[in-house]
Amino acid sequence: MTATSKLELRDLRKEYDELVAVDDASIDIAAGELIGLLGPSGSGKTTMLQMIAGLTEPTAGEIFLDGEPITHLAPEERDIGLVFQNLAIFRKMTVADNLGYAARIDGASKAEVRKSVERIAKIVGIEESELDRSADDLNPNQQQRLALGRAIADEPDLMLMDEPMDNLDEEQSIDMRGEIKQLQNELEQTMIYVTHDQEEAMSLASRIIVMDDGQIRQIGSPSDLYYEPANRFVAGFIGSPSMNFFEGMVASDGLELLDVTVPGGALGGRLDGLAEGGEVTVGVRPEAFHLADGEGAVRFTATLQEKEPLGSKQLLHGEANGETFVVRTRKRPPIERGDEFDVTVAGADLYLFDAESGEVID
Amino acid sequence: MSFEDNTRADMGDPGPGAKLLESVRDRVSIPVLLVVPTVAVLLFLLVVPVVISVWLSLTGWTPISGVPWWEAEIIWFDNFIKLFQDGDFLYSVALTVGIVVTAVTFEFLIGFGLALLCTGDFPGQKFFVLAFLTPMMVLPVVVGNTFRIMFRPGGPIDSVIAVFVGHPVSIQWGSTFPAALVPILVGEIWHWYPLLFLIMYSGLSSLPETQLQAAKTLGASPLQVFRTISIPNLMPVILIGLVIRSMGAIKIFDIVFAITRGGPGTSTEVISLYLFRQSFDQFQIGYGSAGAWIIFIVSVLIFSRALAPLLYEEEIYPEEAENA
Amino acid sequence: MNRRLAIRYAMLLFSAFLVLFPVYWILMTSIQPPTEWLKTPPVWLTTKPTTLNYGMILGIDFGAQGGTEAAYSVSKTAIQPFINSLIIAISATVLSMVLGTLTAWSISRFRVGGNQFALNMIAPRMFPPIAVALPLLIMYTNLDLLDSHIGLIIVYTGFTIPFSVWMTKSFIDDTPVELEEAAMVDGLTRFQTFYKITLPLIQPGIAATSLFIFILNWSDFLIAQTLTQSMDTAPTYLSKLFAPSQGQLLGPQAAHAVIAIVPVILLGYLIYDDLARGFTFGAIHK
Repeated sequence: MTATSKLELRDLRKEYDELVAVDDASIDIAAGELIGLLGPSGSGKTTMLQMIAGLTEPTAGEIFLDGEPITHLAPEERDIGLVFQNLAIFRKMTVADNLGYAARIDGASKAEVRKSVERIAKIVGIEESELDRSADDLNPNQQQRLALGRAIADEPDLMLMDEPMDNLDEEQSIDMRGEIKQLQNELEQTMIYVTHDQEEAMSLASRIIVMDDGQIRQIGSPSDLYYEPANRFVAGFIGSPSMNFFEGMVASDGLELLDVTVPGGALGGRLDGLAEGGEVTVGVRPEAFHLADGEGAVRFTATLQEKEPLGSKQLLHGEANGETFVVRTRKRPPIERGDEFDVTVAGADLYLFDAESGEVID
Repeated sequence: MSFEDNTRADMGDPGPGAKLLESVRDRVSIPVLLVVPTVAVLLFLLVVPVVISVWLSLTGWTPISGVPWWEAEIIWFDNFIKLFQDGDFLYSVALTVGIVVTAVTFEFLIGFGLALLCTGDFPGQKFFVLAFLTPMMVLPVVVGNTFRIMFRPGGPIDSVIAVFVGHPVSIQWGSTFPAALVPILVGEIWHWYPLLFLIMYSGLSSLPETQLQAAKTLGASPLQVFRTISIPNLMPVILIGLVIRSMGAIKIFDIVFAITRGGPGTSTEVISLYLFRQSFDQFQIGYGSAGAWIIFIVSVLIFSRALAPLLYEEEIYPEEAENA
Repeated sequence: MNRRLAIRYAMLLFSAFLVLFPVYWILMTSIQPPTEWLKTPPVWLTTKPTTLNYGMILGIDFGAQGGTEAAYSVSKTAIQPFINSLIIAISATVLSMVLGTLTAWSISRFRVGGNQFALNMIAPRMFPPIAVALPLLIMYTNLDLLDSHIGLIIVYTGFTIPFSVWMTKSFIDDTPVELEEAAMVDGLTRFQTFYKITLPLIQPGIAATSLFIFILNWSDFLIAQTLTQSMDTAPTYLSKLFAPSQGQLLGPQAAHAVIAIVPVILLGYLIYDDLARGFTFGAIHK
């Protein structure tokens, strides 16, 4: 297996009449990287993959593989593999024929094809006894492996995976995830992994591209995205349970939040340069809240709406000043629904976003 | 509104007689009731004529014999034996088979080819598809007549040929054999290729798109994709198309009738024309019926074997099947 | 427009030209005066177009044109035969589709008739029409159904039911039973689920099948010829125009042919969108 190459997208764009599916995307991917492409449905991830694979013509922009332009090459001329969302296995062929397809197309001899088939089957975990069965007869887990193996067998420079876990249940998908990560590592396969599940992306990828509505919102490592979100969308999309958002307003002496005023100092000077009366969206992660005994520039009282025990932690759903939020804590305060409880947050744990653009204020 | 509200038992309280009737009705169940009219029509149309036809085939009845058909003398299988020794009959079978094989082959090639040209979305597609369908929409009697005229000596076809050979041409298409087979075949192929066009067009539109894409990403050229993915997936459609069209082609009548009437002599007498002559010219109705039965039995045997791989049934409402 | 597209259009246009040429020929003949019908060399584009032929067929006087009008005439017009054909073909098609889809649904959902039902339905179509025509003639004479619309409608319906059953059954098979079951939980009777839920979903199949059956009914010559004498359908009328006593009335025949195409093309145009998915004859399952 050779070390795999890098991919560069420059201002890649796809328009359908009025709809902009991909809006001027530019990305650089290093060889051997497992990069996640994360976003809700309809964000343009699949369209992006299809343009990279050559199944869709971009409206504008360029794609470079290993420095070579491939923007207008036919899919069969690109050294790129794609594992489809619906797997797209060749139902009328046997498992072996599926795995050996790329080799057969290349004109390899029957013996060579068979050798390759057996090797790949071992790598992706398909039993030799399954090889001569019809691909249609496999269960979803095996079909997933088949789709993966078929693409790997082609030894592509770049591997694209489109929501491959869609057809598996939770447990199977976590298992497969681990196997894919291991495989990618061993083969040093450059891989783009598309998913709408942020947990999946966070656990698999070294870097993640977050997309929404055709636009790239942020590119960064999982911890970058988690701790330093560039905008409200990324902040709210990454992390489970997701970040809480409150309405805040800039006042002369600080930030008005719920029924409390946070002094400007506690916010590290982030309020400097903001106009008074301006609206700010304030984000707080559920685990950033401390209960009554905590210290923090922000302290308020909330009413408990619901308790959700989660083993060693629990989620408290609270309501204050008409806004609802979620707290994640290890503590077990003796409160019931309808009771009031105190919550504190440190000023440094408050994320500030422009209420209109969603951009982070720092 | 819960499910219980709508069971019939809740609509008032019917007496025991009505409840019994209901349970009988449920047992008999709607499906059988629905099928009854259809079966009745078919029975009327097929069983009765078939019985009559079988009867006739076992007799030597002709309308000029003086006796009514139900009093005709039974000669058992004499007709059938005679038919197998009848040169004209055997010739008509061979000729028809030849025509069917040739015509259906070309109809398939042309139909498939045009269907490939028409796939995808492109401006003017609707116009072209409808244009290619037009021949099938012309009355068969018209097709026959039109090709007879187009192939008349000194007619349009001859004029085109004249351009290629450099001097005026006048070919007696309709009145010589085997030249007469040309307008017959061309006419038949022209008339019926649209059916295969439609079937293949339908089939091509139903191909699993993502499998085709997957093949491309694995390095297959368009030709390879076609060969390794499209064709195997199209096999059932191709088979059905060929069988259906062949079944229809065997009955070829109008075109041949219009162009040659079976002539010169009986050289272009296809099966249906042979039976026609026996029945309406020679008045050998019994004999003709026997001939029809031979054709039918052979056809059923051949075509049901051909279709066998495609047939399967699934039980949808298993509990109903037990009660029905 | 790139090269591949240009080649495709070139091939399409060439094919369309070849395919439509006979149609063009018929059209041209229908507006030609008798002098041009059988000329050698043939007249490709008439210089003396006339509505005479259509006038003859339809019994309408478009105003004398082109001369030699008195040289030929037809004994009766084509209007009644066309109307007969329309009535019979449409009725038979509708009847066949109604019975056929019901039967197909019954077979599909309830397995009435067992496994071989589908094949058993097709077998009758392999019987040479001539041999069926004669017993039918006998039956119809006894039942006094000769020369009747009903008589032909019954025959056409019976002859096409195998297709209406076979072609729609596979579409019904592909429609999940769960949809009907869900509707029944909502309170519909089983029968209602058929025409409210399933039927709309198999529209392509119904459209394609209807077109196919309509063409079969519209074009039939043999059965109509056998079972009618004083009444005419479009095809039988046309064959009378061929009769030796009428000479070679190519013009009126062509006019008749043009008119005969119209209903079919219209139907094809109307159901165009459903055609693509409707003609697989049950060979492709999801």
